Amino acid sequence: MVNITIDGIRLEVPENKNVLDCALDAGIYIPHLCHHPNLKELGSCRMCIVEMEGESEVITSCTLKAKEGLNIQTNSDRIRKLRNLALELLLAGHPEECTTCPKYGNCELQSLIQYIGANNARMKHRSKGFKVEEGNPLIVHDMNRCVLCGRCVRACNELRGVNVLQYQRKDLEDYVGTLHNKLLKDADCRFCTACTEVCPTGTIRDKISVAGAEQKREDVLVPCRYACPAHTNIPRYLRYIKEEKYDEATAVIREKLPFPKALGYICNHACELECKRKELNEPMAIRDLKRHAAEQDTGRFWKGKGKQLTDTGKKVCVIGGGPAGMTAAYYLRKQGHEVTIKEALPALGGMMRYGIPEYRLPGTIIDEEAAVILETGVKVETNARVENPAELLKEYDAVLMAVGTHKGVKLPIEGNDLEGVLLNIDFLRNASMGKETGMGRKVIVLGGGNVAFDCARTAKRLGAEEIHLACLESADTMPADEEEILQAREEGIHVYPSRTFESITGTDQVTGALFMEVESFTFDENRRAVIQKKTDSEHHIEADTVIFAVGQIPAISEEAGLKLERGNRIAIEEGQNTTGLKGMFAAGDAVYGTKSVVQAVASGRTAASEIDRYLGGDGDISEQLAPEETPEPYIGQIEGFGYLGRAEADVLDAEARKDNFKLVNLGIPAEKACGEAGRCLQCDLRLQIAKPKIWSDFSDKKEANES
Amino acid sequence: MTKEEAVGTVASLGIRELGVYNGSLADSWKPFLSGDDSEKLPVKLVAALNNNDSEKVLLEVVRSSPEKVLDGMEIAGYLLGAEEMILYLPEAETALKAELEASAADRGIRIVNDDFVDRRCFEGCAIHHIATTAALADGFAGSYAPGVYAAVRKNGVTGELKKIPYGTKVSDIIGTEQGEIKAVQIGSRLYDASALELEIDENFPMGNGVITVFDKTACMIEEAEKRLYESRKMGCGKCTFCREGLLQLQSFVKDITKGKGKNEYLPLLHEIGEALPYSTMCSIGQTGADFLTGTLTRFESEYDGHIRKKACVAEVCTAFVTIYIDPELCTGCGECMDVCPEDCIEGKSGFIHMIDNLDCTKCGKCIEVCEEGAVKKTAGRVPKLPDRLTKCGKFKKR
Repeated sequence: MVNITIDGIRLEVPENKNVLDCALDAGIYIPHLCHHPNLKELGSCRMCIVEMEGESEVITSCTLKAKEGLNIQTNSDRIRKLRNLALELLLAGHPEECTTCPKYGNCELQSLIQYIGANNARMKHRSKGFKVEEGNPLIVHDMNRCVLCGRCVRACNELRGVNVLQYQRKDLEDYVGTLHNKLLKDADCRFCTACTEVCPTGTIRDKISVAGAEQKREDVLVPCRYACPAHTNIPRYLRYIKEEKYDEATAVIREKLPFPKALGYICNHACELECKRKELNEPMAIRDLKRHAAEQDTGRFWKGKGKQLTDTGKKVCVIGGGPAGMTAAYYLRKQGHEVTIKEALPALGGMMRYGIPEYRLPGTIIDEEAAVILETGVKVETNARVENPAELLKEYDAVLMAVGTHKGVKLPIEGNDLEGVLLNIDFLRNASMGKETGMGRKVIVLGGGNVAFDCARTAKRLGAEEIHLACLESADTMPADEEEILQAREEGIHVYPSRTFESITGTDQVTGALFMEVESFTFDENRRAVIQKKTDSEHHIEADTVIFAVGQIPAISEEAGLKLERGNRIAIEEGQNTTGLKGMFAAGDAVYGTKSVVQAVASGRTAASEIDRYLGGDGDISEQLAPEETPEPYIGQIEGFGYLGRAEADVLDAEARKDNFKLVNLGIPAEKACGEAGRCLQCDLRLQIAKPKIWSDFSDKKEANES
Repeated sequence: MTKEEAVGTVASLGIRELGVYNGSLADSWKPFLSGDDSEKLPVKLVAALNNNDSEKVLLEVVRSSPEKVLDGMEIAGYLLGAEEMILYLPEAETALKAELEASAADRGIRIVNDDFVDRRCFEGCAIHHIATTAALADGFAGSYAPGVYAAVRKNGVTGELKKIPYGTKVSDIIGTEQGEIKAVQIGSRLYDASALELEIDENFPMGNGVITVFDKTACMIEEAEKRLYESRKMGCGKCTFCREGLLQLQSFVKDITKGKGKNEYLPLLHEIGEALPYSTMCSIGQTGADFLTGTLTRFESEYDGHIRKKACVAEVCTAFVTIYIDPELCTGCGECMDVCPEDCIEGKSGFIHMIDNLDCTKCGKCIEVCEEGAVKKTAGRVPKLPDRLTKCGKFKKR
């Protein structure tokens, strides 16, 4: 440590630390532009000039190293004049109109102008005349706004080692760009967007606006993690997968959810829909990679290592052993409570077991992951349907209703109670339990979601000769996953989008169904469906079985003593999981309708946290399982990075799968997993970059101190 | 000889750094030899021409005695404990690089073809002028002769590079057959004719060694504009003052040469020009406005002429001159009409030709082609000229 004096204030600072940082850290503002806390000093902008005792010329404080006895003045007439001149020079080539700039209000240059008070009036103003480059994914380049601070170049070269951005020159006008003005993808850019992060002006910008967004900054910047209902730290575990560290990767996943493997098989991967990589070519295969990691995992980082608080003596009953219930039970147990799951069906799993067919998610996977939950001491009663949940509050301190949506819905059309009309839930459950389903030889499935496809494909495997699936939605708006539709077609299932269901025909026994073609299908302002049919398009499809797969609702009635709302869902208080009945909570599909397993997990987690708080805990169910490591910011160059294609999972051939319940998706081939993980843009790396300080940060502080 | 003794020799011989830093070579090594700085970066040794040297006559030192330059680098590299030694040769000198490569490699020296040494990449490193390393080799070979290199440039022709001992007068370097001299540029700086009496001593900033002589046909403001443009071309674009400052200076000066100058430009030219030497990282920005500031202090009257009187004394700035055809001399031959790229000369065979001054770009082609000397240029008043087609010899001044 050495002693230096800045503006008469004596400071003790580490030797050789640059004087600018010394001042900023001590609350003394020195204007600066090319300086950035994460980058090597360039000393070019001349904003941070200071006077030093014993030195006749002004010097840049960013390049000045602290030495014993240094005496610095940050302000004098000479300094102000030179700073002013430097800023005037920068503004001479910068657009005059601030308010039309997307960076308005968040611009460091604007802040400097306000602080220094310069304008371009004395200088010859020019427009640089660069074309705004919008042809790149994720990033916009508007070199007319560039003040050549060189932060982006240093970020790209020194911080990241990607070496895409360089100083360029055209007709004596300097700018930042790629060699030969190649598009970023062709220049092997890794789209880490460090350049946009450090750009002080509106020159290099995100295509999506970060500043104006409703979400938190990091949620906009790392959209996969935000899109995942459980907020799994996706970039972090993908990095581990890239390094073949599957134990670490799985531990990262397990920090947020107890079903890494099951979700690796069947997650609806909202994350992939938001993955920024899709702007380059295809999104990351996040789900398949998760499965790959979970399958290689040895449990080194989490088995017996997670959080387990001492017993609280409080008792919780979780009604329903599906993903929401099991998740809540798991985390409540870890908080030290005694937890009992009451499951109406013979085994744990809920819809994971009785809804999702075996060919998508083998029951053994559910057994394996449920076993981990039971190991924590969660007790389970199966075949234990609860008719009167409120009654349980006498025995338990809290009760969680996680009963799911186990009741199929029939449409009010003619013939809906004929012999041969089945319901999705019953059909799938019977099939999964090996029971008689009541299905004939020719089957019509009504519905276009994943459950409808589960029904159709299960029917195929149970030996139906002819299967037709019809839905109201058009081919592009069908709610089912694309892969489901494709695989169903491969298996010989006839899919008819844009059909209305007019009636089911037959006198006692189903003989088929009448359909019309849909001209247009929209929703009005009250979210009611508005359907226009094509005239004379009525047609009949013969069948002996019709399966309704048009939604499902909780199998619960008012008699349970809980307030129900639209769709028979359990009413909860705004933003909470409380039902209005003291000690009674609800979570999962039963609250918000059928969504997804990962949504149920997320709901189970919030419910667990809330119940823990209700029982006197702190509600903090977070766990640190994977090692805490700072990711490497120096990501280097990868030739053709932007063009690396997505690795697809191997799929069992249609012929080999259509008459049995063998697993269809065989997972991503092991040799492709690391490469696929390496395609990740690592959007989260940008969060490591510090925010530069501007003068208002200091004036705010001063005002706060004064008041 | 120990390292200390060797450095002592360099000091006692008084060997000077001939590059941007103008002082004792041994003194410039002190930070490397003191060894108390724990955060010191690995030292590299670079030998190069100055970044601002567009003429590159000092490259002759490498051409004529490459071994000296390389020997000197090796000596300096050894004394400073350099982990890497790099010789920068101009970008175009690939053949010279090839010629020296083997001998350089023997000494562990890497050669690169680049006109620009990025000082930011060599923080805490020793950067020497090529001529300095040659002098260093001389020093240890016992043949060191104090002095500077100089070459005289006149009428666009650069003479031979010569070694000049300290104490020589500028006029002696330029020689006797000089004619009337208006200004002298030595290195990057501009002097008036009184510079002829200057003696070159060890502190004299010789820059790139070129001494350029101007007679009264040179417009100092136009020359300043050319040099600002040259400096801009050389700059790397990083330093604000070099990039934007030189650009502003050039645009202001250009305005002045075009007759669009304003008085308020002058304080700005001073302000920016004076800030450049200490507001930039390398010689391009540091000396980029030297010539201009020279014109501001030593040829102030030319600014007054261009801005207020709208006249260029050297008749170089075409904005202030008019080209006209002397009606007394024109023979109506049509030669000037044929060469005029703007088609702005009117006339027909046997009639006095007339120049339309609105379109005339003052390129001067008509002056060159006229055998009669009838096409004339003036910065002063234009005599009475015909305003309609007039037969040769029939024009009356009235």
